[in-house]
Amino acid sequence: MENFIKYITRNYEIIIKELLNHLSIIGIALPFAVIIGVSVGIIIAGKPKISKIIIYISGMFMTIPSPALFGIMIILLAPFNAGLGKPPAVIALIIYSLLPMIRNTVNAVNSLDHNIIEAAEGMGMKNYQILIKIRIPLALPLIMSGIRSSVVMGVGVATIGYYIAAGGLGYFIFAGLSRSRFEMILTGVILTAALGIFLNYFILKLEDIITPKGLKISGE
Amino acid sequence: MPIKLKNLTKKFGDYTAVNNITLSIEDSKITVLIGPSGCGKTTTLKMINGLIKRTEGNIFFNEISIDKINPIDLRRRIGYVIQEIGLFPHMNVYQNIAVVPKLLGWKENKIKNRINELLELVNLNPEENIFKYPKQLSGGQKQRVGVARALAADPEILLMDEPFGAIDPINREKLQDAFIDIQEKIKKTIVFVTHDIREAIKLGDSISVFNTGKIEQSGKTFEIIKKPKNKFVSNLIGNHAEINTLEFRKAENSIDKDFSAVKINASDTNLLKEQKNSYVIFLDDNNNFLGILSKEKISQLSTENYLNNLKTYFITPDSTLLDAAGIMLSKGINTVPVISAEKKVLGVIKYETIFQEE
Ligand SMILES: Nc1ncnc2c1ncn2[C@@H]1O[C@H](COP(=O)(O)OP(=O)(O)OP(=O)(O)O)[C@@H](O)[C@H]1O
Ligand SMILES: [Mg+2]
Repeated sequence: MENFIKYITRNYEIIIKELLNHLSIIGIALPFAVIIGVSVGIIIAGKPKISKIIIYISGMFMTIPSPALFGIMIILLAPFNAGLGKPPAVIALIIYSLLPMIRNTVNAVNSLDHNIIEAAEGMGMKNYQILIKIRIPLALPLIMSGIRSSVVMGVGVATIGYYIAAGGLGYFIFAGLSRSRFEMILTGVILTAALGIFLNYFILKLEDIITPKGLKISGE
Repeated sequence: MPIKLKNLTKKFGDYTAVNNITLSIEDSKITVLIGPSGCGKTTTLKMINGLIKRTEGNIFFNEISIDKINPIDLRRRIGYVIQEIGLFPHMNVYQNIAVVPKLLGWKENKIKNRINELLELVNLNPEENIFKYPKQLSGGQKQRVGVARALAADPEILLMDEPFGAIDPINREKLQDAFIDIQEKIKKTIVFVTHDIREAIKLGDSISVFNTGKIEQSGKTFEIIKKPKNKFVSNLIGNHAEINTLEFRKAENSIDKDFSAVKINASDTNLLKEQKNSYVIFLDDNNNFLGILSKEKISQLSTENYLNNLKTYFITPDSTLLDAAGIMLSKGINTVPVISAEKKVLGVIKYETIFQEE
């Protein structure tokens, strides 16, 4: 324990640097993942067959072990001179995040009360109006929880970034492991966990803000 | 706007939900579709606004085929109250009602006024309710908002699928009364679906009786009650339908203008004898109602005793024929005067009128 505190106080600069690195990988990947995942989800939501296929494919991506995916990324991106560093880490993270994002979006949009959609159609709303004014606002809480699970998962996955020189909190864990330095591992684990917990809480709050008021009321 | 359904059929796969129905839906009237669960009422409504595509036959609005009308435009001109109400849970009462006016590009101010007007029409206090969300409303309040929403853009046609289904009997009765008043003002072409024969008789100008995708009988409410075409229809309307209808018929619609009235100060025996009806209504000098006497009674009395013997029973125009029949039966008479709030004689209700075919 003494070692741990000593380590932190001596290395706080590098800790902050890697923490920021870690956050930037997630921070860059996340907007892409959200935009791609949510829009794909919304586009395919009305089409059960296509949804099934796409969810299946993105599910397959997720089963690729993360070191392998990072490896593939290095090979694929090498010709563009981007085989190491942040780009492959960011792209891998986007790919991992897609499944929960797409699946939650599809479920969210499809789980809407059929009668509400019918009422909207019956009033002469066009499909895109129904999407924007009815489906998306009602699906938002569920979509957000998809985003949340992607982000929390992403915090963990991004630790692998260490292996491809992307930096991040993985450094403490994996370098610590290879050097058998328990205080380094502990630093990495605690920071990763704390970051996950914090982001989870933060997005939970965001979910609450973004949820339409009419959905939060539990009846008076 | 009148609607015609012509040989309309809807098949879901092999199952025929609506089977070759033909029906004329009169302009500015309430046409009720009634029948047991699963007989095709909702399917018929949804074909009218194009939510369900017909398999065969055709639908005409003002003689124009539904195929020639843009479905989006059509639906914006048709108010639709779906069976499950379907209020948007993330929108408050105001926003729910404002949807179609906004789609039509109304100005915010016009929408605001319209919503206040509509909420009063359906008997909801605007101030109290306008910012409430569906979850904060009772079942009956939701249905009222549903009706207000359907009326929002002043559509020419209203399709109402069991709009009062979720409401307890007492409040349902009240809503029906309110609805009759509303229709008196707005005069829309309304297709109204119900399970409840009492509701059908009360609200319907015409009734179509559905059974397993077919129409057993359609016609004026009174015709259906008087002359049920078959066992199915007579079972549906039950035994006392004819008497029951009296409760729903307003006196003002059955007033007979052919009555005898004289000023009491100007009445002499000869004038009274000349009156061709068996009853004479007496008025004061301002033509206000004083009372009524049968000719038989008049012949037994001297002129100065008329006033003391006058029968003062009467009904108001918003009374029902059941009220009139009640007075007739309890007093043993066959004519009841209808008197306005200003005490003027509007006419009389006669026994024959009540039990005559419309
Ligand atoms: N989309 C559909 N696919 C298959 N069958 C359907 C569909 N919609 C309705 N049906 C069937 O068509 C028949 C008529 O349905 P409809 O909803 O018109 O009945 P209804 O008269 O409105 O009944 P209720 O009084 O219970 O509302 C029912 O047997 C129903 O199961
Ligand atoms: Mg129905």
